[in-house]
Parts: sequence; structure tokens; C-alpha cells
Amino acid sequence: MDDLYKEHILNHYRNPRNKYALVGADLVGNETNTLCGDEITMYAHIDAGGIITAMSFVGEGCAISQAAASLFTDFAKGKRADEIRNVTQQDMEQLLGIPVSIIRARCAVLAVQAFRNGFNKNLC
Amino acid sequence: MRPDIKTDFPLFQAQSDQKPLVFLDNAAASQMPKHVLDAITEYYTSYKANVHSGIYTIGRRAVEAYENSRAVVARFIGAQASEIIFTSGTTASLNMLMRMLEDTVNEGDEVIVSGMEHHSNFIPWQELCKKRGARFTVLPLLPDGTLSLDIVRSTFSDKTKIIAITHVSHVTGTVNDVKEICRIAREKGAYSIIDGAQSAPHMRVDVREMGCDFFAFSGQKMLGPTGIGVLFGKKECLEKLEPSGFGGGMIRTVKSDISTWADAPAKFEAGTPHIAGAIGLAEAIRYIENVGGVDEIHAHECMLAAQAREMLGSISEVTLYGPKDSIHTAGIVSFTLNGVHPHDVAEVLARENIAVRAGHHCALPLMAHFGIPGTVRASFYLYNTKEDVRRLVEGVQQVISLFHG
Repeated sequence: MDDLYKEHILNHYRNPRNKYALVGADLVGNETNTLCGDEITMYAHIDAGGIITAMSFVGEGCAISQAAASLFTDFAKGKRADEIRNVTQQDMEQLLGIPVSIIRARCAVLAVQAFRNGFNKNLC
Repeated sequence: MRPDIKTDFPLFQAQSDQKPLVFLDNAAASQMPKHVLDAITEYYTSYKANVHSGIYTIGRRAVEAYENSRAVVARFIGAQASEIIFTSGTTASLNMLMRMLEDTVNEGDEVIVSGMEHHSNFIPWQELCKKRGARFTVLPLLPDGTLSLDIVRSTFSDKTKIIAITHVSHVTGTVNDVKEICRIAREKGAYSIIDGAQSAPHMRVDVREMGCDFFAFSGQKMLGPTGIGVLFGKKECLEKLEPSGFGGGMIRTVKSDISTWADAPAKFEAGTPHIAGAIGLAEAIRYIENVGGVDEIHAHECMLAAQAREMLGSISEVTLYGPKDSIHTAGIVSFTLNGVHPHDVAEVLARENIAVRAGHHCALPLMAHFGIPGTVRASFYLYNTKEDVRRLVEGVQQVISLFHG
């Protein structure tokens, strides 16, 4: 077995961080994975300076998409929302610590895309 | 099945650097025996020409091969050659049929499908109803995902113009009593449309005995190449329906004020068809008949599927979908693993060189019925073996120890 399912990812899958709906979120965005139909919703509190003070997510999915969402919420906290919306697949691969195949790329960026949808809807 | 049958398939010979490939995604795509590849190559290297007008030698040979392929397909499903329209696949067949039948559905009419359909036998009819102001009725399923004939009977009304039903579920392997459904449709004066994508490659199909008006299937799911499919239409239906595409090869006369159409099936085959595909499909049918025929293939697959169901069913983390008995199911097994997403199951199995399908299988209404996002599906064909089943079950146990261990 290669390390796609190494402990780092399985840990985030089994015990996802920030998996709840933030109350009074400034940003709510969702996205569906066309590959499998999995849905994810991202929530964020963003202060007057455009800094993400809290981020959370809700949704069911595979180990990759759930671990990615969990890692993404930790990563985004304290950073600028307009920078976080530009997180790329490569950035997510770095967070996950593994490269993902063309088929699973959607899983790795599902949370980012949901955040971006929310950003475009709520903040543009 | 002949024990060394995999040696007929170059793809299985090409895998040497890892564990032998266990290919269990046959409901999506099947592999091609060298006989089929050779027939296609021969067309491309010895007599490639269009089929419409070449008087020259290879042009004539191409026409003969193409029309002979039509005759082979017709015989295979008990039809006449004039009732066989070549398309690019089941999806294309059904979409084309939707356009052909558009004018026969009016406001207030009804089209019926079932809750187990593939999206390609669902959305075209939903769209047709939207466009024509007709009612789109989805037959509800029983808890095990099967169809009740009583519900089919009671749903029909004087307004029902079309019923479109799959012969075999591509998710659970459930075999529908399409003969009875077609009989009910005939009694009510509605068109019966059968999606045969999962039946024609695996079991005996006789469209006359079935009594359907239309029957669609794909070449690439029955040892043929991609891009070739079939729409069977009863002669009297094809005669009165209008074509959905226009151009070369489908006309009788063209004048500046009006054009008229050739007889079926040419009327429905505008433009250059997939000639090599048709030739490859016919060769696939010959191959299937030479290795024992569909009855033998069906028995072999059902045996493997029953074994897989039994072995997987004895694992406590596994949930199986579909009917419990193996009499009314084909060689398809769908399951989920408690606490593991289907894509993760498939990904771990892929690392053992086991190819299964995971996800909603283009059957979201059925997934909603079961209340799940997707399943893992193993679908068998003539070249699969008991060793393949053993490897699958072993792989599933590895997934469990990885995620639950």
C-alpha cells in the first residue's frame, strides 16, 4: 500500500477538525463532487480586514475529501480570505502530503471550491 | 467457460509488472478479444472506404461488411436487419429515440420510467415531458430495489404514451420482467422501450418474444469497440417515425422545396456511420457464439456473482444491495462497507490491481431510494474466474483492516 491512506489522512478522516456549522458565518459556500455526488458546505467568519478568524465544514465524503476539508480549515485560519480562495490543487496536495491522481483531484479540492463559491456569492 | 479464455484478450496478457489484473467493471466496459481487434484492423488496413457510394472494389467490400454486420446483430436479438439502426451507444440510441418520438407525446400525456434507470434512460424522457407538457412518472421501487408488476399495472393510464424500462439494473443486477411490462404497454397502446445495455451482452434476448417496440444496447459492453451501439425498432414503428438527424445517406429525394427519406434503417443513419465499430461488434457476436453463447456466459457470471454475494455477505461490515435470491439477478454485485466511502474502497482495491466501479453509477434516483451516496460494484463477464472473486474478497478484507484496524 502506498501512502495515500497513511495515518495522517486517516486520522483527519476519522477525527475531522472543525466539522460543524459555524453560527452567524460571513461566508457559506457549497460544492458537489460530480464524480460521486458528495456534497460539502464551508463556513467562515471573516473580520473587517478580510482575515479568516474561523472556518468549519459540514458534509460526508471519501477519506481524501474529508481529510482535505479538515486540513484546509486549520490551514485557512488567520489568513486572508482573498488569498485562501486561490489555494490550488498543488497546495492541497502539499497539505495532504501526497500527490492525487487525475480522478481524485476533485476530492482534494472540493472544500476549496466550496469556499470559493461562498466567497464569490457573499463577498464579491 | 474455457479456463484459458483470458489468453484470447491481449489486455490481460499485457499486464506483467504487477499482480494479474482482476477486471470487474464489465458493466461499464468490456475487454476485446484479438478476433475483434483483427477484424477492425483488417477494415482499416485492407478495405477502408465509406459505405454510401463507392462502386470500386474496396467500397463494395465495405458495404458488404457493414450490412453483413447489421444482419449478424439482427439475428443475435431475433430481429430483421431493416430493424437495426447503428448508433454510437445506448445513450445515443435512447436520445435519438426521444427525438423520434417527440411528436407522439402531447400536453397531458404521460411517460413512465422506473426508479432504477441509468440517467440515460431517465433524463431524455424527463426532458421530453418538460418540453411537451407531459407528465413524467417514476415508478417507485420495493425496499430491495426491485420493481413490482402490480405497481407497473396500476400506474398505466389512457394517457400513458411511453414506458422506458431497463432489462437488467446496472447497479444491482436485478432482471425485470420486461416481457410482461411490454405486454401491459401493448394492451394500453403505449410504446415500450427497453434499455438492454446490461442484458444483450450477457443473456438471451429475442425482441419478438419480449414484445418490445424498441431495444437499445452498446457494442463496447459486449466485447466490441467503443463508439458503436444499436437501436432496434419494430418495422412498423420505424416506418412511421420521422428521422432525428439529416444529411447524407438517409434521403430518397432532395429538392429545393422538400426532401423525402430513404427506408429504415438508412432513414435513421445520417452521415458516415462507425463502420469499423459495426464490423467489430459483429465479430464480437461471432466470438460470443463460438465460445458457447450467451446462455453459457449467463450461467458462468451468475455463478461468480452468487459466490461473491455469499462471501461478501458473510463479512459483517458489508451491506449488499438488490434482491436476495440469485434467480432474478444477473452477474452484478453492489455493496458498501460500513464507515468507508465507496471511492476509498475502489482506490485501495485498485492498488491490488482489482478494477471495480464506485460511486452513484449514473443512477442517482436509485441511490436516493437506498439512501446512500454510492456503492462499490463488481460486474462479471465470461473471462472472470473464481480466483477473481477470491482476490476481490481478499481486497475488501484489506480495506477493512486499513480503515477499521
